[in-house]
Amino acid sequence: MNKTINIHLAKMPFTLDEKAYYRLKKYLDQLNVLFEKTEGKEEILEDIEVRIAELFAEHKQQKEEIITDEIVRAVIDTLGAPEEFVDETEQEKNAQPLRTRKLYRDTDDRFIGGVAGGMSHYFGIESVWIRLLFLLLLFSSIGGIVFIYILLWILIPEAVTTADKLKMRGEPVNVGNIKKKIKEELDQVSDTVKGVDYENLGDKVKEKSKTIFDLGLKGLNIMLKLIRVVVGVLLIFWSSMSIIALIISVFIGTIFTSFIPHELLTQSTTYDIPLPILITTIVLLAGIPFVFLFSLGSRLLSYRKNIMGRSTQLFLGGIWFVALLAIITLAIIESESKAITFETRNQQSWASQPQDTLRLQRNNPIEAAVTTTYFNDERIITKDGQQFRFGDRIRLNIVQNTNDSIQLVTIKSAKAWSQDKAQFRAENIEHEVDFYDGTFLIDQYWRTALENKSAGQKIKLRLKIPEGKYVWIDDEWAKYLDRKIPNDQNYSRYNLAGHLWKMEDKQLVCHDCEHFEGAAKIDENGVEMDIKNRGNTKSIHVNLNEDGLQITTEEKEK
Amino acid sequence: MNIDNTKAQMRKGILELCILATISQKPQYSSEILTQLKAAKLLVVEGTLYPLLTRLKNAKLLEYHWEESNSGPPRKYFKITAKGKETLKELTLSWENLANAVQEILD
Repeated sequence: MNKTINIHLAKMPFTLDEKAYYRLKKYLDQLNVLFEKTEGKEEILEDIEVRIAELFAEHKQQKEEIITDEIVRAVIDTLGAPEEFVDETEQEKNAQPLRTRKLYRDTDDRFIGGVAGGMSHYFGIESVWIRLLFLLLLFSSIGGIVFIYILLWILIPEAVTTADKLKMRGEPVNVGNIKKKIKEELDQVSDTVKGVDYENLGDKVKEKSKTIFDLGLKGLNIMLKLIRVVVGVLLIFWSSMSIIALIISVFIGTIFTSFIPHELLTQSTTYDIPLPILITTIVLLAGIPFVFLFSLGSRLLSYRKNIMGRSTQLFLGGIWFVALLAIITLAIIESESKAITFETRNQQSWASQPQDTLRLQRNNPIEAAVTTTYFNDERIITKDGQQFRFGDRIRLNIVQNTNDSIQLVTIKSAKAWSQDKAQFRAENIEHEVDFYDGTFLIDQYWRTALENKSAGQKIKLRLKIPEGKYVWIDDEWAKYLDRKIPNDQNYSRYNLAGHLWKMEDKQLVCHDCEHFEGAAKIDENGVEMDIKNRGNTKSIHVNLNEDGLQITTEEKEK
Repeated sequence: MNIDNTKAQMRKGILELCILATISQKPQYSSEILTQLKAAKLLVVEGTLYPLLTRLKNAKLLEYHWEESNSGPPRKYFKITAKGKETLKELTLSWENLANAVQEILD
């Protein structure tokens, strides 16, 4: 089964088989280039087309309905090959365009602007290699190649006419060509050798170098093919793995996020974008490049021009671009929405009873009876139809006061895109502290309305106590303690809890921190133990062996 | 020395004269001109003719008109102009001189 193509030549219809059509088209294209600079080009070409039509018509009269390749070949023989025209019509200067290649953009073989396609003709390399190189440069030059590409796009003209396209293809300097050239030179060399009457030797030299050269070329070809296969397989493997990983992570991610209550999820974003839309956008952004890499890989392997159609490429590229814009916009909005931090400061004072030990107690403001949504430390409660979010980012620091009173400074802070908004959010953090009978009752959670969003709300409490004041920090306060509470034990956070402290000389001094260090030795002689307290003021020595049990204690004055 | 090339050069010089001569009797279309030139073995490939015809037309030595054909595409009939006739006369004269001169040398 052969495909046929209908054409009109000099207003006459003809049916050509496919091969014949392409041969004829190529011939006319070549003539087009040949006569490019000749005066009356159009007329000459028209005359030639008329003549071709005449010759075809003769065949048609002989009941040959379809013009075959043989007929076209015979017609071209009659009319003469372009080179024969040149010899007899003083068109030598126009013969040049057939030979010299020019750099054009090939819009028939393009991904973006056809730059790589054009370069592939110029250098005689398949365009997929040049694309691969561009891709590598894209990663290694951190996008610098983009500007170079755009520059090339602007500077290199597009191959529009058939003449341009022929010039673009020209006679590429490919492997075969180099071979031809070097063979020519080898022949020349052997001719010279022959000239000096070393005929046999010359032939041998020629033969040998030819074989070696052929072998080298073959090796190079095989290497290139091998590299191509390896790169192709790697690309396909890498891209398909990435796509699979993406799908799996979306799957797992969806399962996990389904555990997070919706109200909490939307608390951290400025706009309540539905999660499925957000996930889809991210998946498209991350996934589409891998689809392109996959297609590139399969192109390398299959030697086929296009795995994806041009429209598919454009469609995917378009979607990717939109997704990119969406994510960038979102990222800018989100980063701007937390740009400004505002702090409110509130100070309360109480008289101190020197002999009393100050106690810190937690108060849980979340009543048991209300509906609560929990996730990790975040919780939302509904009270009287109103929703509140509770947070526990509270830090307590304890420092020495300059006077004899007890002071508590509460610093509430929140973030927003504007000063006013941040201030509003900070002021709308609700947190209560009670002080009675020498005991602080401090809310362990702050509370804010849902519409204030999760905007970095936090509370810093600064408890100022006079010198000589005792304070008992209960274990339950461990997680709320500041990292830098000045103390004589160099304790940080959790370790401070569960001890009795006294404010002395701008730091807390521990009054029940007895710490011992010890060493034990157990062997065939028995057990020997050495225990000392911190500061080495008390020590105890225990020795248990065949002589019995021996205990020695020692106390040094500080 | 390339003999084929020399032959081609010789033919090339007299082709224009021959084209003018063939159409000086009566108007002819390009295939008729081709048939005559090929019969005289002055043309190796047909393609050579068309640039020449265009050149002669541009030099106003000949003109043409279109005529429909029953069997094929429309035909271009070429007719010699007054200027063409003068050129033909001049070229014929110089050809005769040349032919005589060459003949004398060859004899």
